[in-house]
Amino acid sequence: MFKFILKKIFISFFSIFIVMSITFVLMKTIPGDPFTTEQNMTKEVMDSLYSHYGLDKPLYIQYFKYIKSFFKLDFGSSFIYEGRTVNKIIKDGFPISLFLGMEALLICIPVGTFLGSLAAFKKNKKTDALIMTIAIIGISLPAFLFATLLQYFFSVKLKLFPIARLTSFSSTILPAISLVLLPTAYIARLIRNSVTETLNKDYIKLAKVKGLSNKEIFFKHVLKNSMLPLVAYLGPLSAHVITGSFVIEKIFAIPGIGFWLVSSISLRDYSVILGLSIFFSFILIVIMMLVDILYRLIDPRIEKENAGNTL
Amino acid sequence: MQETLYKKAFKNRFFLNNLRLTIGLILLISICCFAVFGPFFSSFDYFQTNLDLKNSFPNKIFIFGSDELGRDIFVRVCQGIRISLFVGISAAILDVIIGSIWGAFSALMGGIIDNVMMRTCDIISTIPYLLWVILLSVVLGSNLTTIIITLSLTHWINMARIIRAKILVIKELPYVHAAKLIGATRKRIIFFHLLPNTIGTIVTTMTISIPVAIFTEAFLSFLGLGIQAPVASLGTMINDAIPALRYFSFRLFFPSFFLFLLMLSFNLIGDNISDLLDPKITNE
Repeated sequence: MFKFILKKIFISFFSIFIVMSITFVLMKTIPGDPFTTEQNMTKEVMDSLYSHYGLDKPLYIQYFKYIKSFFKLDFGSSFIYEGRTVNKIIKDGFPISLFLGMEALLICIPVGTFLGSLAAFKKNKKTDALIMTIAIIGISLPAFLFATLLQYFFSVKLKLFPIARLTSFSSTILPAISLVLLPTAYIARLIRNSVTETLNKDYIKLAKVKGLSNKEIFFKHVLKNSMLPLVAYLGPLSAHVITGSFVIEKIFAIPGIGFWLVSSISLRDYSVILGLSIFFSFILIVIMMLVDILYRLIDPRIEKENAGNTL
Repeated sequence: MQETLYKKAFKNRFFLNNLRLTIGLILLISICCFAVFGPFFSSFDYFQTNLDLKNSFPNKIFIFGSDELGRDIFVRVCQGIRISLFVGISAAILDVIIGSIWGAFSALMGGIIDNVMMRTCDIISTIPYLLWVILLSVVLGSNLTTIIITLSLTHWINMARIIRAKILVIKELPYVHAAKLIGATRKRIIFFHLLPNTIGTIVTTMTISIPVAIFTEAFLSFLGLGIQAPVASLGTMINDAIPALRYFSFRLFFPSFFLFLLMLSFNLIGDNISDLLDPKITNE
């Protein structure tokens, strides 16, 4: 177990390093540099700009400087807005994004589990068909479309929620709902399959024969044994919530980090894009690592299989 | 006799047992027909602007209305479906090519090579797919080719893993051992025994990755990294329609409705096609 955790930490560390190297290469392959768009600049000005940002040094020195700055948790600064650093964006935006993400997770896991289990218990009946139809619609409806529709109907037409911006708790409800549509549908399907599988096990039949009610069977036997796929899905789920928040935050004008990423994409503010991307990957790599370890802790049977073979 | 039985089974799988698959296929075929034949029913081209007829509500001339430059939304939706389908299918095909070569090679070589190749996949997959796509399309720029390349460069990992897992299973099946015993060459085993048996898996994975690619393209267009004018995909149309949503909601409705239908049809097919392709699995 200890060896496994060490290995995971090593791999995660390596992944972060690879991500940083790749983003560095990407940044260098972008045609032109941050200052090519500025006009009427003398060579002296350009030179001083270059030396100020260290762009006149050889590539490998720039690379080491770049890596070093990340280990000092300095994610760089904007080339377009003076004084706006990626660290400041993260400091201001991350709590908001985190809150939204947590809200989303707290909605989608219980709702998805409930719908999925209900569908499994009523398998091949109308309830099941209805839930699965809703699930496939949820998977097919792109989140940005769903968010726009929600905003249009509930805020513009019915005026139930604030249209945009973060003013109170009620303005996070619509964003959170639009963020969880796909994960909820996905979890419902996942849980439906695993609960169905569990319901066919002998110990469930025994419990039924013993005369336990459906409710008791569900809470005592089924739920615990069917949650494993959900734990495995936690990693992709958080990835989805993070990447999903990009557009959702843009649509609802919530000043989280996703919002800043999207605005810097439209401004082509490369240093912010790269800094934020690295921050996002950093968080995700850590989450994935934790989920992997958690998964192994919950179900020691997995240790026997080759971890690389799963899926 | 046997053939009729097979046909019967096929029919059962297709129509009765698998209503969802049938619905998905019919939906997909009708969308394709719409995209191909739709433009014949309109007298406009998708890039033709009519500035004096801008933002007109659906009427006899513009069946779906017109946008802020007076372009016919009906024709643009047809064009958008074509682009989305083209992007989705070609990205999925590229996916299959890269992924199955990587996966098959990894599974067949085994040992250190397998380990290194799979660890590479692991590392790449720790970074979220959409983030890769955004980074790559910021760097590569946005036209049809680069978007397809971006999508397939980031999405082949899944395919590689699935193919590898499948080949690892097939490799140990009795008929492969039997083929080896009677002296079949490596090449023959790969091309006559292993690859044909992965086709079901490949097609299933492909039908799942097509809607992902279509969605990602729409997502990129939504972020302003999508296909540039005058060509329009459904995503760019949706993005253009959002500022005017309050007054001209039809401009959002039609492209998004067809995007939804397209995704729905592929999802319905992708979910259920494995029953059709893999007769060994009997689905209760």
